[in-house]
Order: sequence, then C-alpha cells, then structure tokens
Amino acid sequence: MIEINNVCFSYEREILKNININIERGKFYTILGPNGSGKTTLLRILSKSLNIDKGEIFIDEKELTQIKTKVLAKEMAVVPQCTEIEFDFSVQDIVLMGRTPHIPRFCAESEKDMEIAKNAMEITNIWEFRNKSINTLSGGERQRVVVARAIAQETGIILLDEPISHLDIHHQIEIMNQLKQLNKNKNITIIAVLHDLNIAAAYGDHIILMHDQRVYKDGTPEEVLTEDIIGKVYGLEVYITKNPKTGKTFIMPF
Amino acid sequence: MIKRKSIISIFLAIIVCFVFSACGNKPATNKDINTTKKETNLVVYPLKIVDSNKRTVIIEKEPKRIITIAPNITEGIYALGKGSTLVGRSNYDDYPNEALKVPTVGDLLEPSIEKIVELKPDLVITSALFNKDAIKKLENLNIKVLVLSDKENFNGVYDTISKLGQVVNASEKAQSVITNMKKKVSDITKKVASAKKPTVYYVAGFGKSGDFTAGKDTFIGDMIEVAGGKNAANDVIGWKYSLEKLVEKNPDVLICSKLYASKKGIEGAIGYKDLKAVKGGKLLEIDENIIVRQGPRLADGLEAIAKLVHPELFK
Amino acid sequence: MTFIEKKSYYKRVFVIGVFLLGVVIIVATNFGVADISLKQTALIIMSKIPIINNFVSLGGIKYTSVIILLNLRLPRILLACMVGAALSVVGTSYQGIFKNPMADPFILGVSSGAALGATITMVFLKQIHFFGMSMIPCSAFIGAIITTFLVYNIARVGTKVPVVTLLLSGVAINYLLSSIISLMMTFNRANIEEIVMWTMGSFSTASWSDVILLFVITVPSILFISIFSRDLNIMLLGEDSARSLGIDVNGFKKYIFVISTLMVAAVVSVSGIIGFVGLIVPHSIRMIFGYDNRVVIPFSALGGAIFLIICDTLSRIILPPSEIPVGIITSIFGVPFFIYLLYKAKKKAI
Repeated sequence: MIEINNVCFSYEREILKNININIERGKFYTILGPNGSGKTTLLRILSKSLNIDKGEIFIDEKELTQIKTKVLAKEMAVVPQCTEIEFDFSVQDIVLMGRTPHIPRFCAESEKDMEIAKNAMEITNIWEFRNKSINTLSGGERQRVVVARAIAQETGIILLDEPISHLDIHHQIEIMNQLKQLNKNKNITIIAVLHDLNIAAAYGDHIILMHDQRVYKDGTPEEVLTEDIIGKVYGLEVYITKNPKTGKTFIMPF
Repeated sequence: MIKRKSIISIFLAIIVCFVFSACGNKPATNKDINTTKKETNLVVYPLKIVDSNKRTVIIEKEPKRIITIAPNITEGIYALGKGSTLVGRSNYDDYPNEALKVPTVGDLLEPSIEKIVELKPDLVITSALFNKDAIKKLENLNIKVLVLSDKENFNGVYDTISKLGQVVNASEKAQSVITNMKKKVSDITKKVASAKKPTVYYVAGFGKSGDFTAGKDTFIGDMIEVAGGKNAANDVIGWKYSLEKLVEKNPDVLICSKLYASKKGIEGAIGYKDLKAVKGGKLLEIDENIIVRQGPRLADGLEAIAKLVHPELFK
Repeated sequence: MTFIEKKSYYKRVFVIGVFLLGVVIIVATNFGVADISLKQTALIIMSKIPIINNFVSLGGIKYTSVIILLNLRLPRILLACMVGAALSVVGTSYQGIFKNPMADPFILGVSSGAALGATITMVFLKQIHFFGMSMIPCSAFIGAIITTFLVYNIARVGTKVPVVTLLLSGVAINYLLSSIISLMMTFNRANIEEIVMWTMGSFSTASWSDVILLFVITVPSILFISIFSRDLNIMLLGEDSARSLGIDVNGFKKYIFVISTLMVAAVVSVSGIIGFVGLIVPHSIRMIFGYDNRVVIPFSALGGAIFLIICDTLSRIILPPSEIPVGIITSIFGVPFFIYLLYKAKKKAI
C-alpha cells in the first residue's frame, strides 16, 4: 500500500541512501535504529515534510507528490517527536484540531467531531483534563494529547515519531496497547519510530531496522532482532530469549 | 643771523606740523561716534558698532569685500547701491538678480568656514540666526563678523538699514530708502483707513505637518491689520493654529505663498477646500519673500498684502 | 471549555463590543477644538443616516459646524477605526505565522518602504499634483509594496519561505531604507520636519476618499483572515504538524502575507506609521480571551478600532490647538496599560 522505491535524501550530507520499503495495509510497523540512522527523516519524507531528491513514493498506487496536502491529511496522521506548544490551548482544543481535514471551510466543528474527539481522549485516558491548558501538562501527558489528536484525525495510517519516550512504563504500555487495538480493530496501519527494542518486538508485526542511512534489515521481529544483527548495528552483546507470557522476542543486553 | 632764521622757520614748521597732525587725530580720540544718530551723512572710519549679539565690532575702514549671509542683508546692500562690494552670499539670497552671480558660502545654520576664508572678506554681515560657533571660528581666524538684527517690525527694519548704511558708507542712500518705505507705509495706511475690514487668514503651513498661520503677535499678523484686514488668527499667539478653528472662522480671504504649489495643495486639502474663500476664488498667492524678509522690500510686501485684501482700492 | 462551548458567550460579548465601538465613535466625534454641543453632534450625524434624517432638522446649527463634523472629524474617526482594526489583525496573524510574539505589522519592511516612497516624493516631486491629490500616498503605497516584495524574495527558497529568514530579511531592509531616509534628510534639511511629521503618523488630513479606500481594502481583508483563523490556530502547532493536518503551509503563508501587506501599505500611505497598536492589542486580547484566533482576530479588530479612536481623540484634545502625533499617544498611553495587563497575568501565573 505504501511503496518506497530507491529513495534518496540529503541535506548537507546524505541522510537516506537508496531506501526500498513496502508497507502493507493494516500492519503494525516499527522503525528502529541507532541515533542518526535516518529514522525521523524517513517519517518526514513520508508525510511530505521533506521533498526527496531521488526515487518515488506511492500511496495506494498514487505518487506522493501528486497527492494534495488536504487529501493526504485524511489518509495519514503524524504524531511528532516534539510536543512543545508555546501557546495556551486547552487539551480539548488541541485534540479537536485533529478533525481539521474533515471540517469544510465555512463550517464549525460538529457534534460528530466532538464525539470523535471525546472518544480519542478516552482511549488515551486524558478526558479528565480536557479543559487544562496544554502548557500545564507533563511531557508524558502532552504526548498522550498529541496521540489523541492523531486518533481523532481518523486516518488509515498513523506515523509516530518516538511516541512513548517520555512516558512512564504504565503509560507506555497503555498507549502501545491502544495503538495495537486501533491496528487490530480498525485496520489502521501504524508506523512507529521506537527506541525500545523490546516494545518494538512485543507490538510490531514488522520491524524496519535502519543503520548508516540505509535499511539494514526488514522483516519480522524474529528475523530482524538476532544477536548477530544487533551486535553489528548497535555494537552490543545481547542475549535473546522469548517472553514466557507473550511468546514475543525479548532482548537482554549484558 | 641766517642760522637763527632757519632755526625759527624749522621750529615753526614743526609746530605747524604738530597742530595739523593733532587736528587730523582728533576724530580718532573721540570714541563716541555716531552709532545711533541717523542724521549724520558722513561716515567716518574706524567705525565702532555694537551689533545685535551685543558684541562691539570695530570697522577700520570702508569695507570693500563683504560677505552677507542673510537674504534681507543682501537685499539691503544692493538697495544701498553697494552690491559691487559683495564677494559672497548665502544660498538663499536670491534677490536681486545680480546677487545670483555672487558665489555662495552655505547658509545661516551651516556656513562654510573654508569658503568664507577663501574669499578674504573685510567683513561678514549676517543676522540673528547665524551659527554661533561659526562666529567664534571666524573671529579666531581674524575675520570680522557683524550680526545685524532687530525687532520684527518696520522700525526694526529701518534701524537695520540705517546701521547697514553706516557700515558700508552709504548713510545717505540708507536714509532715502527708509524715507521711501515710510512714505509707502503711510500712503497705504491712509488708503485703507475707512474701508471695511475683511477677515484674512495667512496660510503659513498646512497638511500633515500641521496648520500654521500668523498669530496676533507676529509681524505678518501686524501687517495684515495695517493693510486694512482683520487677522482671522488673532485669537492665538505664535504660529500654531487648528483646522477646526479655521473652518469655524471661515475667513473672507486666504493668503498663501506662491511657491511649492501651495495654492493647488490648499485647494485639495481637507477642511480648506470647504472654506468660502477657497470656493469663491479668494485664495490669493503672494511672494512670501517680500513679507518675511526684514529688508528693503518690506513696504512692497505690505503693499502686496493690501492689494490682495483691498483690490478695489488699488485699481 | 472549548471554543464551541463558549461560542454563544463570545457572540454576546462581540455584539456588546460593536455597540461600544458605536458609542466611542459618537463620543469621539463630539470632541474637538470647535465649539459644538453634544446635541448638535447627534443631530448632524443623524441627518446623514437614511430614513432617520427625515425627522431631523439642522436649523440653528451653523454651516461651519456641519462641515467640521462631517468633513473633518468623522472621516478621521472612521479612518482611525479601520486603521486600528487592520493593524491589530495583521499583528495577530503575523504573530501566528512567525510564532513570534514580537512580530508587528511593520516587520517586513512595509514602514520603511512607505516612508522612503513618501520622502522621495516630498523632496523631489513636491510640485506634482495628480488630480488635485498629492503624490505622497501613492508613492508611499508603491514603496511599501516594492519593499515587501523585495524582502519576500530575498527570503524565498523555491516555493518555501522560511520564517526566520523572512524576519531577518525584513529587519535588514528596514535598517537599510531607514539609513537612506536619514541620508536624504541630511541633504535636504528644509524637508526634515515634513518627513518626520509624516513618519510619526496622524489622522489630521483624513478625507472621505481615504475612508472609502481603506474600507474597500480593509474590510474584505479582515473578513478573509477571520475565515482562515482556524488555519492560523493550527499554524501555531508548527509547520510540520500544520501540514500533516492538511494546511497548505506555503500557500497559506503567501495569502496571509499578500493580504496583510496590502492592508498595511494602504494604512501607512494614508496615515503614516502608527506603532505599537499591532503589538499591544493582540496581546491584550489574548490576555483576556486566550489564544484561539477565531476569538482573537475579531476581537483584536474591535479592540484595535476602539483603542485607536481613543488615541486619536486624545491627540486632538490634550494640547489644543496643537495635535500630538497619534503614534506618540499609542505608545505613551498604550505602554502603561500593557504593563498593567502583564502584571495581572504575572500574578495569575503565580
């Protein structure tokens, strides 16, 4: 459904070299890799924040450059890494902004929009502070607000750039569970850049491992997260086992 | 015998010489020279004169190379027939036409010291607004500066012309200029004495920079009254006025300067364009130089105003 | 409480604000050097309103009073109203686009460009009158447009206009043009006063044609920006986020800049440079009503109009018959009020 063919991008230096990825609808993808390997840039070229130098990107067989911004916004939502907002909007207002692509020019938010926003806030457990100003929230709470906004956008694809890095473990699992639910129940394609290998293994159907501006390995967690590969990419010695409760791959560095 | 006679004759000759030289020196020892008496026609040098900056300036002999830095003074020099002595003038001294041939040395506020020195003047005559630092600089370079300025009224002008006459050795001509001006003024006063006084407003400035006119205590305001008009702005002193007041007063006659396309500007200006004087063709132009410059043309200026205010009397 | 929930509350407050504006206009019309009573003021204004004017007789009122009120005071009050609204709205939208609370309407070189155009005309082309009108507003307008165009193109990279580069470009050009103006003043001492008075901003020469010109440019522009106020909100999230929510960021910036430049150029050419309004009004409104541009934009327009009418009235009545340039009043009276609001906000934060 998303095809990335031979894509290159550079900005003062090469950041993405010859990227070839195929994203299938309805799957949960996680993008991993050391710092500076090009993960965030990959997301940004997908969301059209950056223009690629070489190659093509297709979404449902339509070339990305031909898709209008407004149309793309109905198909793809982005949860950015940086959630600082200097302006004093309420949580509810921020989540409602997710409805923008669906609200016609001269109309206001409808009852339905309010419902969808409420639902998104309940999923991410932030409904209770919907009237608080976003600047008064902690980093973790802010992240949940931005995830809620993406959920409210009701798109078929959600891109997330380190969505859980500021959360405590309880909320980390909570958000990942919710994303997994959306993925399973509503068939929403999730593409999330993550740092935590174990969470990626636990939730991802598919891992894209980036290293040195290229895709190093692309496959299931079992295929990608091997001692050999992790050693080469991260320079770490690890012991790989399986989580006895879930059966998912579990990595333990030593 | 012969020896004694020659000694006596020599002795007598010497005495005669002394007497004659003593006589010759007499005026030099008399320090109270005519700085105020207007009737004396013979100017004798060295002349000691107190200028309007309260400085005492001694003029050794009749100046042959004069620089004038003020339009009224330049006009004065030419009126006194001493235009040929001018070797320098200010940028703004544009009357009479002969003056335009004289080299310029800057203006009252920013005179070019270098230029002045280059022209080797015997005397620099200027008026009150002259840059005070420049005076000091010139005096340090041994150049005499005389500042002539007086009250802004006809008497002041007469005084200035008279003093100027003394300085350039043209006292007789000065008196005649003054007499002519006085006559003109009194003729005009008589002519308009019994005429009905229209309200007159002098447009000194208008538009974005503000509305300015000749207030009650200004010379132009005075001249309007002498010329047989009633100054519409005699409820203020100074030069600042208000557009609303002007519209309220709705004067009979408006006088503006011929220069800077003032008339056109006023005709299109907010407030002004609704005045009856502007709508009725009574917005009249005048050469502002002859009413603003405190010089020999001032009586002509009064006449010009009178002609605008009472055209029917000057057919 | 979201915008939706508070909508009816905002509507009510807005209506009160409009009513307040009307009152301010009528009261301001009553102030001035000429001696006109409140009753006469009301009668004269009513005589110009269709239908009502049939019941009004102006007998006993001096013709000059009518002229003063209708041709002198009313145009300048209406002009102040529109200029205040325009500057505040442009200030609000620039603060949104630049995400910089210090952005004011003159940031893109409009003011110095207009001033240079006006200065050149004052020094060289004084004699030319076009259809009885002075060339100065025309050349100010042209100067403003050319300068903004220059600033914009210096900063542009393809279709994108990086906001920081735009700001820096505007600042640099402002300095350059201001220096040129100072240079021209050095060589044309006689014009210094006129140039300075023009730059200080005033409504003293406001005419009905100025009012109509500004109405035609400002009202549609402010309406346009109001319609896009939701987009402006989203721009505050950052350009990437805005794009992901469907905003054509580059196109949006371009529209806002073009419309704002047009408005500010028109304003500056007609009334000179009136500073601080574009900063103080949006921030004051935000301190009262919050950051949602769907609220801030219309209320800034209203607040700016009222604020500037009051400043203009003060400029006329403080030292009669002199007028203090209105740009001075906006700072002298605006700053203490702004500091008071800052103080209140500070206390709330603690």
